[in-house]
Amino acid sequence: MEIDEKPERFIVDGLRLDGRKKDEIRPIKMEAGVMNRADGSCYIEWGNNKIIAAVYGPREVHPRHLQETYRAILRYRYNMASFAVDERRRPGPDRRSIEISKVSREAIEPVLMLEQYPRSSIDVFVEVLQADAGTRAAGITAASVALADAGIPMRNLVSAISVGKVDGEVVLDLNKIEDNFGDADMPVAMIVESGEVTLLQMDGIFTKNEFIEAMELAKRGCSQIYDIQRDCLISKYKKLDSD
Amino acid sequence: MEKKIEIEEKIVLPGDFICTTEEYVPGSNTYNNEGGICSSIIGIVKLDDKLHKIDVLPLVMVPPEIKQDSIVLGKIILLKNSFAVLNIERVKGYENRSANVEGTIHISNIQLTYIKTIDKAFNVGDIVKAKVISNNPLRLTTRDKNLGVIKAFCPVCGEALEKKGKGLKCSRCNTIYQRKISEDYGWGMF
Repeated sequence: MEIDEKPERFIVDGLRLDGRKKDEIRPIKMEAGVMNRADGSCYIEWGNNKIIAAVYGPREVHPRHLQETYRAILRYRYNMASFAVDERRRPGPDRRSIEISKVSREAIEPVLMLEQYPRSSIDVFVEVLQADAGTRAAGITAASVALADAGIPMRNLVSAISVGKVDGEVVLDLNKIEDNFGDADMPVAMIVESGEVTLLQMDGIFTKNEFIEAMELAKRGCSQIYDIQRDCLISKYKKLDSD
Repeated sequence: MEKKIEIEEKIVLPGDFICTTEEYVPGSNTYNNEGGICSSIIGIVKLDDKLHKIDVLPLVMVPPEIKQDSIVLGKIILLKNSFAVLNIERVKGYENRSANVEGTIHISNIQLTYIKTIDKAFNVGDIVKAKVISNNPLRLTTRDKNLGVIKAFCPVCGEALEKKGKGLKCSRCNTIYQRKISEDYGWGMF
């Protein structure tokens, strides 16, 4: 779908431009253990997003002065390929990806038992190969599966999704047009089983009631994502177990 | 009632509730969460009714754990007057996953008999099998017949050295080197 201008209406007869309902997520395909050299990895296709996440470690920290005596450090690198968006992006870290790396690291950190691996580092690399709104949420989702695949002890999985506002209505899982021309965008990451929110950012304006509605929607979206993450991991290890 | 060890079929994921703390004691790969025992890894549940303990047997490759008496394999990366630094690549029991940590072998822990200088035992680039004495700091020993250099290359011509008596010999340039050789030299056994 190539639209460069703001469409007149985002929601026609209760359906969005790509035919989804307001509380429907885009189709997701997820696969764990796709990379040979990484300790754990995950490839995710979320609508038109294509993201690969790799986990290395626990391993020795370089440079040494970053290491901590009583716990492991978590390093998270979110990077977008130069060909991931319509117009070529200048490769390398920029203001946006440095920020996303930081907030994503803090979204993942609460579930990891870092105290079990003192003086080491766990490195997560998230490469966005094709971007279509909601990449940080998809990145966190994939990174969480990759960490579980790497056998790193975790308290739970983290699921993430974005909610937003178009045409004055709260919708789940924005796509690119809705993200670019919509009124608000709010990525949410949470631990579904306990309901803890580990990432909450907002761009645009929600009223108080809209915010409450958006959080409800995000909660429901995250539990759908969580089910997909579980299915992905169980199907991989069921296969290994029966072999 | 018969007391036994039971292994469940179902796969558990990180965060899955297994049972309450009244029923069992949390064992390996589990954690305590508000009175419940949860899994911290992908695996299958092992119930031990004798010890009343719950373990999760991992289905994933877990990160290597280096503890006392672990056998490790690595490459010598540095020689000092009194010790050698070994870059540990593999840990026995976790062969499929790289460890990548550094440990030191003190000159007194190389062999039981006296050794004058450290270059009589190791050289940079040697592949060494060693045993862990302590984990923090990581100290290693090769004071055993099957510990020591298991593969070495000639510093002059790069040829793989062959075992000859108590030393190692280069078949190309005929130089003889002194090393702390393991019984398993050139054999490829971990």
